[in-house]
Amino acid sequence: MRPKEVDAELAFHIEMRARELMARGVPEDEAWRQARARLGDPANLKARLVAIGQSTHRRERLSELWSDVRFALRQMVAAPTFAAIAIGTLAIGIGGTTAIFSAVKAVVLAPFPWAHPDRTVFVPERWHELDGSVSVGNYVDWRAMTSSFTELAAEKFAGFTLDAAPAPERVTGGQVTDNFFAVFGQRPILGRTLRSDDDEHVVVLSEGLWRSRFGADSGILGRTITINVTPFTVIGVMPAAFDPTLSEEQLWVPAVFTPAQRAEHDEHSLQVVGLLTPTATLDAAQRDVRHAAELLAARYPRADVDRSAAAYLLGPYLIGSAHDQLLFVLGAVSLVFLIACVNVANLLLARSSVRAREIAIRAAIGAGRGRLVRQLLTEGAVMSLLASILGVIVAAVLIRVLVAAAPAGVIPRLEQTHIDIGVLAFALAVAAVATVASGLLPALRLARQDPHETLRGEGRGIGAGRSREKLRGALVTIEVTLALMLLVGSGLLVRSAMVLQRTQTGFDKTGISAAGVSLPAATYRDPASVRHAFEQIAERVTLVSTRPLSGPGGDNGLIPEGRPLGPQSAIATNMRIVSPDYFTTMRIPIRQGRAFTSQDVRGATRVMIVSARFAEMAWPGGDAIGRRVVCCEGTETDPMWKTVIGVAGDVRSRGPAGQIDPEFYLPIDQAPDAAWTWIGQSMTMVVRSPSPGDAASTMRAAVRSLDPTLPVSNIQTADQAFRTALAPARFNALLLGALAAIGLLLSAAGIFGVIAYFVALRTHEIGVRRALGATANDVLWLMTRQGLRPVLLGLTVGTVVSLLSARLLRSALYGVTPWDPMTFVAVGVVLGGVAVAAILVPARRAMRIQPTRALQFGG
Amino acid sequence: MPNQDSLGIVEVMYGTLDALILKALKLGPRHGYAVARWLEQAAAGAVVIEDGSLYPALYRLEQRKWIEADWGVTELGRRARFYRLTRKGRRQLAVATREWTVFAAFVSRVLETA
Repeated sequence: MRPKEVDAELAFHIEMRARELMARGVPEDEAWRQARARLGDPANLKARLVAIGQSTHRRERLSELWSDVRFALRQMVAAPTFAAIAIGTLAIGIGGTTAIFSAVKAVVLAPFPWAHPDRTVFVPERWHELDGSVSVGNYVDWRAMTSSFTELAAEKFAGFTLDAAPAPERVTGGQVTDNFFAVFGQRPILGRTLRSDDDEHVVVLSEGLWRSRFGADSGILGRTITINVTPFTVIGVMPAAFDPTLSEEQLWVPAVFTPAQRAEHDEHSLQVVGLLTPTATLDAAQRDVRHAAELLAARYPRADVDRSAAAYLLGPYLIGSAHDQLLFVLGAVSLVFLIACVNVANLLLARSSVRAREIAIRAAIGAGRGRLVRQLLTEGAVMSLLASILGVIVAAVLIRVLVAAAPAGVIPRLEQTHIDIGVLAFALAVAAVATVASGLLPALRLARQDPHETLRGEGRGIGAGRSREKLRGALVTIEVTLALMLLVGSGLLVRSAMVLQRTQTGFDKTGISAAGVSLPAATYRDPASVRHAFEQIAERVTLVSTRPLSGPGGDNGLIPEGRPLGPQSAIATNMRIVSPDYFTTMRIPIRQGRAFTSQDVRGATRVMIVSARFAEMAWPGGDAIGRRVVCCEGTETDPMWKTVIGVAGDVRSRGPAGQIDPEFYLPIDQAPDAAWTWIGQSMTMVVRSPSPGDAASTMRAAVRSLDPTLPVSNIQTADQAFRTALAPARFNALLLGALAAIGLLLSAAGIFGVIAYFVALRTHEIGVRRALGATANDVLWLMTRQGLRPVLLGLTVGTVVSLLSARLLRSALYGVTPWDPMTFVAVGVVLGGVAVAAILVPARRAMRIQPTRALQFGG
Repeated sequence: MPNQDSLGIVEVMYGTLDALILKALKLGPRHGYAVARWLEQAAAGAVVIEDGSLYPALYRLEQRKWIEADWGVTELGRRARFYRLTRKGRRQLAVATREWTVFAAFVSRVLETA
């Protein structure tokens, strides 16, 4: 009750009383005075009335709200299918969007747990547009030559043999400079990190290793453990969250650079990270390292030719392609969400038409317009609230599924995903707006409507209006457009995954198993002992220096005979040191010449087998056999020529999605001495056997025959490796395929709903047509045509928009173009087919409408 | 007009005014002034209801949902706030009437036999 109303009521009373007094002969002034006086103190009375009125109003509004909520719930119970579809659709939309955006937030947007994420940089060498590892010489010189960094630290990844009970184990770790930990500023959970005065036999453990191998022993500090047959003293344990390069190192030991290494500029093995000074910008740091690299290239023309440097913020660099990948998924989820919203809007519109009669009756018996609108708003709000509760559950389940299904190591930090409140609130708000708006529009229209007219209109209400049909047709068009975009996007990714699945790797992976073996430098001190040890293992199993499908491994510059001896002539080629039977075991075809034999030993002619790709690059169109190549060792006076004796088929070492690199093969006995350091004295054993178990025991036995204390690491079949390599593409395809299926289902439901509504709306008219002689087929065609028009429009618009936007997907596509005609045709056929089916079901119902319906009341 | 012997009804008994207002509205919706006039005529000068206590009573009854109010137009075309008895109010009137009858009978019995 507003003060103004109280005033009006009291003024009316005073006036009536005064008139009464005047009618009895009281003079006018006196009459007014008396009339006022009988109300007592007017200000006091007014204040009392306003206070009572306001508390009444509050109570009324609360009880009205409660009765509206109850009414809304009753409405849903009365039409359970409608409520279930609307709420379910919204919940899928809200849950899906929330789950994916939460993942984006955890992976892309959340800051890394470093002291200064905005100043932590990664500083690689640049060579031919590629980022690469840094040589010790360059790193040492950069430190002296640059001024943008408070710290510039280096890490060399390495495998270590940890000799602890119950059995020796290969673990990955890093040799790091003493300022490495300072770059990230994360504290150890136990002990301390490296200091500049530490001797080289101290080790910092990861929380994971400390837990798994040392039982989380809090007394581990100062204990001596054996790594690579050498005693190391434990000085600290880093927290689980310390994984600054996402490489899952399990331990860190000091990197000790010898004077020879410090002078070496052409062996690139270090990952360099830095902390910018508070005043330095990233751009300044870029210029700084690039300038240093230029000076070094001038100083060491041989080692540093074509070598530049770059600086990136480490966080975004690590996230890299996962960023794009999640954005695709986010785009797809947003499309699903939009389809869900359109669907619900559609449902509510249809519903409000059905309810036009009910609302008209309520208006006729005295419900105010405001009251009706408030009621419909409450219904929308209740619906979106229920949908969001369900949506939270959907999101929680989806996040679990997502984290469980994602291939390990492909999407960094994905496991840290949790439902993000901000995102949830946003999805809720959008859903609420969609629900409330689509409930409100018809409500306003209904409220304006003269209830008598609606009631006379045989319950068809204003929904039958032409503009309403147009609106609903437009919604179908939007839905089909969105669904088509979604299907095209996921179709392209599924096609990519299929192409990849069929990609030939260049060797026969059936039954191939592989495992790693490393010779610790403490025991195997010189190249000869390493060579002899590997040859001993090679008597039992096949050996290769780089695991199949695991990547390019290291490369060397090869100079074919005839070109000037200098770095500018070199062809960067992946090195493979193999046992002679490698080609037979892997079934890599020898296209020309011969494979290695046991006669290709030290002292005999130095030989080499090259891949077809290399042969084509070195001698285009010519014969490679018998040609000579300089590689890997030698001096200008004695280049140590190697003769090409065979050309092998190409192998996709980077996995099915990777490019084909040129490669060359050397026999173990002829491998240059330095090569053993390059590959960390590690080789991969390869066995072909129908039983992976047999293969594993063969490889274990081979290692045991040499040295029972040596661990065998990472036993895996080539099929597993192939699957792992394909996992990201398959995961993408799976995720987007699932989203596309949901989107397709939702839009089919939407189209079905609209056509069913058209049929219901026109039942009476159809009855009349039938009575006037239209055949059942005429009716079917009439309804189908009405449904098909917006669908066809949607297909056209969707195709155009998809053609324009599919390019965004390019980086995730493999072997298909963004406008792959097959995908577009297939998607059009599928979506069109589903749409026709969704139209035909209700249209066939229309066909069965009997002419007698023309005589019946209502629709 | 009230004479010298008339009593203010509030002085007679708290709650009686509520019952009288409900009774006034039993015959149909009225605005506040019409309620006052009806009470004056019904009381025929025996009791006086101050206009100043009528309105708080009306508002309280509205709050208890015994009556409802809405703006309407009088026969003379003036906008006025009309009060209407609700179903709850109708029940309350019956209860109050019964109570009053019992109470009045008791009081007269006691006073007259003494």
